[in-house]
Parts: sequence; C-alpha cells; structure tokens
Amino acid sequence: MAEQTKTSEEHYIASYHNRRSNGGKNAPEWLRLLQDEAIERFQSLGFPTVKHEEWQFTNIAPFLKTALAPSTPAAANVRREILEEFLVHSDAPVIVLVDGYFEEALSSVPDSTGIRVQRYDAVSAQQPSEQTLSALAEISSASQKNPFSALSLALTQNVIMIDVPEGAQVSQPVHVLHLSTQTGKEAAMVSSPTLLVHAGKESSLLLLEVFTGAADADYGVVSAAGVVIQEGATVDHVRVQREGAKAFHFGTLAVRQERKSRYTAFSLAMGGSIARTDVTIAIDGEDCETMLDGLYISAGEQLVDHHTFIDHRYPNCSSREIFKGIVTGKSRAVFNGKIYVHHEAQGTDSKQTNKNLLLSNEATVDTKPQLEIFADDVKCTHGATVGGLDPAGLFYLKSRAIDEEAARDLLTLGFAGEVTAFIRDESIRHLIDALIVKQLQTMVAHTALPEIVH
Amino acid sequence: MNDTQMKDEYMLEIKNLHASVAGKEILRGINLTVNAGEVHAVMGPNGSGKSTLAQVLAGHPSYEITEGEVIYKGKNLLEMPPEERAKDGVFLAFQYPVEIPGVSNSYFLKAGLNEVRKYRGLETLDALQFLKLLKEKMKIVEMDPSFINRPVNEGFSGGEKKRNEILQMAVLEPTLAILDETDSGLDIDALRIVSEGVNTLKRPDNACIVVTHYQRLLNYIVPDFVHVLVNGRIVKSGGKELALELEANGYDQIKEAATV
Ligand SMILES: Nc1ncnc2c1ncn2[C@@H]1O[C@H](COP(=O)(O)OP(=O)(O)O)[C@@H](O)[C@H]1O
Ligand SMILES: [Mg+2]
Repeated sequence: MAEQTKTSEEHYIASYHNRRSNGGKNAPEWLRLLQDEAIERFQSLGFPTVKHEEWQFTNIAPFLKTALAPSTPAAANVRREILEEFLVHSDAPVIVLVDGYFEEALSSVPDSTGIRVQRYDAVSAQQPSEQTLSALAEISSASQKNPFSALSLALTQNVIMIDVPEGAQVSQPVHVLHLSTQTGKEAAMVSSPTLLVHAGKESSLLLLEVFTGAADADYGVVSAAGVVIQEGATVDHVRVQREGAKAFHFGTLAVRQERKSRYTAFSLAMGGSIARTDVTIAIDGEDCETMLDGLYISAGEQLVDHHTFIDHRYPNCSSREIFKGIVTGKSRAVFNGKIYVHHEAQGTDSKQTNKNLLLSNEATVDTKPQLEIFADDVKCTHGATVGGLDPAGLFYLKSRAIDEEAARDLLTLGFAGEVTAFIRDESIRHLIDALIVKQLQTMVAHTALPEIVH
Repeated sequence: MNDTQMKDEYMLEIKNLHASVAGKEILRGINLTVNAGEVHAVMGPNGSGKSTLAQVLAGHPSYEITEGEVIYKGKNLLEMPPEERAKDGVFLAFQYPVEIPGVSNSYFLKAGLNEVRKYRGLETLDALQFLKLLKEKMKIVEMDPSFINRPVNEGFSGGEKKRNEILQMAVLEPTLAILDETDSGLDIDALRIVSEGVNTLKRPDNACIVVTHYQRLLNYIVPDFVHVLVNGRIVKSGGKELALELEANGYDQIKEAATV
C-alpha cells in the first residue's frame, strides 16, 4: 500500500492539500494564504527527532506511527453536561470547540461580558482585524522553529479571536473549552484549534482554557494560541490539559507583552499519552510582570513535556516561573525552562523553579532550567529539585492519627497546593484543586482523598 | 497487690527499653511507669536521650528497639504503627514541629481528629462542626483564627509552632500526652499560655510526660514525679522537689553519680 511508504510529514502535507482541493473552502482567502505559508514551513522543518536539542527527551515515534486524519465536524451532538465539570459558574461565558470546530449550540458569550468574539472559518469569511493579525503573528513567529506550531496553523479548522477592547475590565472568567469526541469517526483524527487573544490597553481578562477528550479514544490535538497584551493590560490565563489517556497533545502558546502589562498563567497538565507544550513569552516593553506557573501530573506510561521560554528584551521587568510535577508509575516528565535576558534588559528580576515529586522508582524526570543573561544589573535565580515525599512530614502526619495512604495523599496534595495557591481567582482555584484531587484519585485509586479535602 | 493486678492499673509501663539509631545505642535500659491522672517530668542534660524516648514512644521509624518492652493500656505499644498509637490516644508534641507546605492547619487537624473519632466509635465531624470545635480549642491556646488556613507550621515562629502543638493536643484529646521541650523558645507569656492549655486539658483519666531541660516549666505544670535521664538511663526519680534540686546544683553531680 502506497500509504505506508509515505513519511509522516508527507501524510500531513497530503492531508492539507487534499482538504484544500476538496472544495477548498475551509478558510477565508487571507487565512488560506497564511496556511499555505505554514505548511511550507512545516515541510521544511519536518518532525523533530530526539537528535534535536529541544526534543532530546521526547520521542514522538508513537505519534508518527499513528497517521491522524484532519478532523471533521462531530457527527453527534455533545451534551452540555460533559462540559459542566469545567465550568466555574453554570452561566459563565463559554466558547466551545468540538473536534476543533466552533460549536454554536454550546457556546454563549453575552454582550455584557465585555469582549468581542470573532471566528474565522469557512462559515464566517470575514476580513481579519488588526488585532487578529497581531495575535496571529505570534503563532507565526513560534512556527518558525516549531513544526507543530506550523502544522497547527496549517490544519486549523477555526480561528477563534477574543478581542478585549481598550479599558474593558472582564471580570467573569471566559471559558474556552476544546473537546475531542471522536464520535462516529472511523479513523483517528487530529484537531487543530487556534485561539487568539488581544487585550487592548488598560484592559483586563480572565481566561480559562480547557483541553479534554474521550477517555479511551485515539486522537490528537495540535493546538496553538497567540496572545497579545497591550500597554497596562492584564491577562490571567488558566489552562487545563486533561486529554484522554491515549491522546497526543502538542500545544503552542505564544504571548507578547507590551509595556506595563501583566500576564499571569497557570497550567495544569495531566492527560494524554504524549503531551508537549511549548510556551514563549516575549516581553516587548518596560515594566512588565510575568507569572508563569504550572503543575503536571503523570502516571502510567505518560510523557509530559513543558518547554518554556521567557524572553526579556526590555528593562525593569519581572518574571516568576514555578512549575511543579507529580511523576508516578512509569511515566516521564520533561521540563525545560529557558530565561533569556538581553543586554538591554537591565533591572530584570527573574526567578524560576521546577520541583518534582517522584513517586515511583520507574518514573523519570528530566529537568533543565536554563538562564542566559547578557545584562549586568539583574536579579535572576533558578533551580530544580527531584525528590520523594518528606519522611519527617510523613511521620508527623501519622503521629496525628493519619494513615499511611492518607498521609501520602495529603503531602502530595500539599505539594500541588503550594503552586495552585498562586491562582488568583478563587473559584478557578477551587476548580483546579478539585480536578487535581480527581486525577490523583483515578491514578492511585485512593479512597481517602475526597474525605481529606471535604 | 500481685503483678497482674498492678499491670492492669498502669497506663504505660516501660521496661528495660533499649533503643539505638544508626547502630549507636541511645536508650540503655529505661524503666518508667505512668498511671492515669499523673504528670511525669523527664529532665536531663542535652543529648541524654529525652527526645529519643519521646520519639520511640510515638513510633518514629528511625529508631531500632534492641531490648525491652512498652505496655500501653495493656497492649504492646512497640508493635503498633505510629498512626495506630495516635488513634489510641498517644500524642507527642514535637520538640521540632514539622512544616507541611501546602496543607492547611484545618485540613490536617480535621483529618487526624476524624481518624481518632472513628477509632473511638464516634461520628466523624463535617467541615462546619469541625471549624466550631477548632475555634473553641484555639481560644485555649490564645491562637489567632488566621492560623486555621495557614499551611501547617510553615513560616510559624518557634513559639507559634509550640502553641500549634498544644492546639493539636487540645483537638485530639489524647490519653497519654508527651510534651518534648514544649517550653523551649517560649517567652514568659507564651509559656503561661501553653502551660495553662496543658493544665486545662488535664483529666483524671489521662496522663502527661513532660520532657524539659529547665525547671521553669514545672512552676506552671506541677509534676507528680520527676525523673532524671542521663546517658540513656533514668538515674534518679523523685517528687517535684527534685526539679528544684537540679536547678540549684545542675546536672553535674548526678552525671558524676551516674558514671560511677
Ligand atoms: N537520627 C539520629 N541519628 C544520629 N544520632 C541521633 C539521632 N537522633 C538522636 N541522636 C543522638 O542521640 C543522642 C540523644 O539525642 P536526643 O534524644 O535528641 O537527646 P535530648 O533530647 O535529650 O537532647 C544524641 O547524642 C544525638 O546526637
Ligand atoms: Mg530533645
């Protein structure tokens, strides 16, 4: 069969051209031009191997073996109840994408929310706004080096744009839910949602982005998000990745901050068989503040990988990055955090930590904090740890009548709680804590957990 | 009284207890008997093995028991895992309380209390009932309610940690409380508060072993017996006046006596 002799790259490139020639109306013309560029870039980059420095610990062979087809719209309706688990309030503004396609029936963003939501796809072929193009440029820029960012842009079904007008204070958390169903589909599919965010001057936005999917389905998500935060604006961005256990997830997050802006991100990653997230934060003005925190939880034979890059280009900015990991079973966690301080970026205050709780002898952590400093007047620290549960803590808990298993769970939750404490919005924090408890429960099948917490 | 009758009356009986850590013998034959309603003070110079004794009673896994036995309420205490001992009423106020990052004081205490209650055949408390109880108990040690949601001992001052230990004791209502240098690092006010807390919790059916280096605490918590531990052995026992004697003469005389 001819199919089998094709390389994975050829498979995706052919899929792209197929979709194009089959009616070719997947996207408006301006977007198609961008996508043509993206597929060319993908073609020249090719998929990475472990020989590639950035992919040293992340062998994507299982993904390459599974030739995924670009997703088609879900055949069956999705029940809203599936999503409720991820909603902070039942009436919160919500944008739902099912298998990469915008789902009108499940989405609702009242005007009172204070944002404009635009979508660019075959259905609504409008011209892009200036804001849209500037947020898209961040993804394009990430795709210069990352083949998955390029592929995501090329294959995207929908571009969703959240436009926060100048001065708007959006207090309700805006939910963006990416759901992979695989309902009624023969072949394993890949969806490639694109999310753009543009926060205008002095505005503020609270965003909760969730990736989730059918527990035992084979599927892939190759997603990209581009975020631009203008002068004096604030974006709080909480991301949850709880894909199904067999899924592949390759996510790009590219952020650009203009002067005096503030970006606070928290990422909870716990799903997928191979889950890789690439985060780039370009600090593009003075007096910015960046907080990039996260927690990953891996079990079984999962591989979870975070590559983050904070690019300090301007003076007097601060960044704080705390990533923690709970690594169990035979899973593997990779963390690579690079902080680059340009010669111009005097007065940079940057702190990065990666702490891993290794709960099994068969699990592996590869952590690599990297600091590259070319300015002289800076305050930068970084560090990484890998260790088990504190025996002194364990004994202390037991001496207070807490059983071994519950004591371990409590210490593990505490480890996670130290970083979720940074989530500023209380209701989102509670949601995240509940998702963590649920995950630990399914992983370790401990019954004590809910009792401890409630 | 014959032997078996006596045994039934003891709450705790430590017989010829030897314990070592990392191959080094620390406790070298401890004998001590505690009855319900009694307060025992264990005094002694630094490094004499006071904390080791306390930790061994609580079930710390680092210590190896090489000889002897400990009978608690008629059971072999040394065979019980630490959490079982705690459920059955053994409580150790640590000399160095442990910080538990990310776990709130109230989560922690509620988890412990409900285990104890289950063991005693009582209904477990829900969050609201527990909070009410916790607030009452916090008054005993004059602790600010802000400590309810703070991570266990993290960033607490030395004195706050010690108060937190007594708060835990107040919540768990132990049968046998062992206080390991709860007085060290406390100023006079904190010392008074902690001691009053301990005295408030005293009942005819519970007992307390107060480990201390100084006589000072014993002005507040008046012991029925004072034992002097030197080099892993109890070298002298007496009434509360023994503490005053030690205060006046120091440990040197006793140490000398012990080495002969
Ligand atoms: N975990 C341990 N490892 C090695 N030595 C220990 C350990 N715990 C206690 N020791 C030693 O045992 C002796 C008694 O210590 P400790 O019981 O803490 O004395 P005290 O409380 O009377 O000051 C000391 O010499 C101390 O160094
Ligand atoms: Mg001591």
